[in-house]
Amino acid sequence: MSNGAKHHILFVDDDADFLLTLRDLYGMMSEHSWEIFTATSANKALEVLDAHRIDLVVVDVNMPVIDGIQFIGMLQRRHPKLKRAVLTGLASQEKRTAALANGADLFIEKASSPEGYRSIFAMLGELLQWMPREGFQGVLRKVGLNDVIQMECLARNSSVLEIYNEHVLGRIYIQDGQLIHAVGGDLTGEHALYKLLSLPGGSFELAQFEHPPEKTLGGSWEMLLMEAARLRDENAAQTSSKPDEVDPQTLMVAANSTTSSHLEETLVCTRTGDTLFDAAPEEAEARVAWLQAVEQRAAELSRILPLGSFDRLETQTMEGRILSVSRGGKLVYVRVSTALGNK
Amino acid sequence: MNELFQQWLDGRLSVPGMIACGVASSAADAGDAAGACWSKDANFPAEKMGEILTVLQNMSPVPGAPQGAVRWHTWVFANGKIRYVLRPDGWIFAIAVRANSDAAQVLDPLTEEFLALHPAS
Repeated sequence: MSNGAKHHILFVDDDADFLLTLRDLYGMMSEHSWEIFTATSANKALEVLDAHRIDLVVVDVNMPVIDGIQFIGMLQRRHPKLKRAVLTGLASQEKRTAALANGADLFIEKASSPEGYRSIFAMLGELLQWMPREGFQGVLRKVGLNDVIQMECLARNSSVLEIYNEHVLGRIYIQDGQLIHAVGGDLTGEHALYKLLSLPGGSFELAQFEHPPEKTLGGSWEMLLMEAARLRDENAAQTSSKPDEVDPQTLMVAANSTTSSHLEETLVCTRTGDTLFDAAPEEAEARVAWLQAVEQRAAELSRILPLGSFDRLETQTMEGRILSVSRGGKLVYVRVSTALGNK
Repeated sequence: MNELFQQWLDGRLSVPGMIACGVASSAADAGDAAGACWSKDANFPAEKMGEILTVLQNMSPVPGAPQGAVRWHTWVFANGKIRYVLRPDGWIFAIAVRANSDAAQVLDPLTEEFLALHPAS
């Protein structure tokens, strides 16, 4: 344990005596290759994190004001690269699940014997040695940017999608399953997102999340992807003569035409009707039944006139637009009110 | 009414990418409203467009849209679109076009013209 660089570990527990014991014990066991910091509250822990480079935080569950599980969740958002462990005297399956769901890498029960503390030391040592991969690289055949974004958003992940081809370099930031920022060339926000999603080819890499310099996207990711798909279709004919080029000007005009849209409701379900995401104010079952009926009608239409795979049904109403989408095994209902709906 | 639509469609059916179209009425007092269909694709007989109209007419109401508020639907497939337009007087118009064709570009103007047609004229 003594070879290599020094590790910096912060223990957070409201029991000051316990912290002193840990510092002495683990300092000695690591032959002082661990530099151990301690804090008796979440606030003091944040001060330590601001003042020192910390590799691993070990948090007790039962603390006043903000408990350890909430604190772990906060650390995941503020310090996503930090390794996090929960150490508790009262372990339960419920706490374990909550801790891991909030971003803990390890959930350990406090020991009651010297042997137990040696085991904890070994587990924390393993965690310190563990090197998370900085994103991944690979080839996903028949998987497009839309599919990756959908997967990340449905899983409520946080990541940065880096996209590049000979014309543009761009990044799409996803935080907790929401699209929060996009930048591509000189564009940001929706314009950048639509430009990146309209690229005819290129490469992309899903990297570890980092906070963007600004937040330029809001609202539902489903709506943003639907709008991108619609704009892509509308622009397809205009760009067909130059299939390898992206015309930012065209995208700019198209994107501006939708700025008066307001998302009213969104629902995502499986083909079998299991709701995955529901931001619909009422009658979710009616929306699910409608989406299934749309799929059925699309299949009937395809039998009469084969036009390839069904993508979506766009419904124009007096108040706005409704999109009923079938994609990637999921059905999506999006209702948007627009000033354009009254034209 | 069919003659009116025939006149309106004359000259519009020749747009490249047009597959077929049809009109019908769901109103009980539509008179000669049996409907009519036209096809520009030798492999797709006009009668088939009648079947498409039947499927579209049997759609259930759209949740989230008040009754009578729907102006049109566009069914988007990989290789084409079907636009289905509903007039407040019960007349409906459906048109099938190839994807990325000239006909796909004139769906909106055709829709607006159909909605603005006056059967009494």
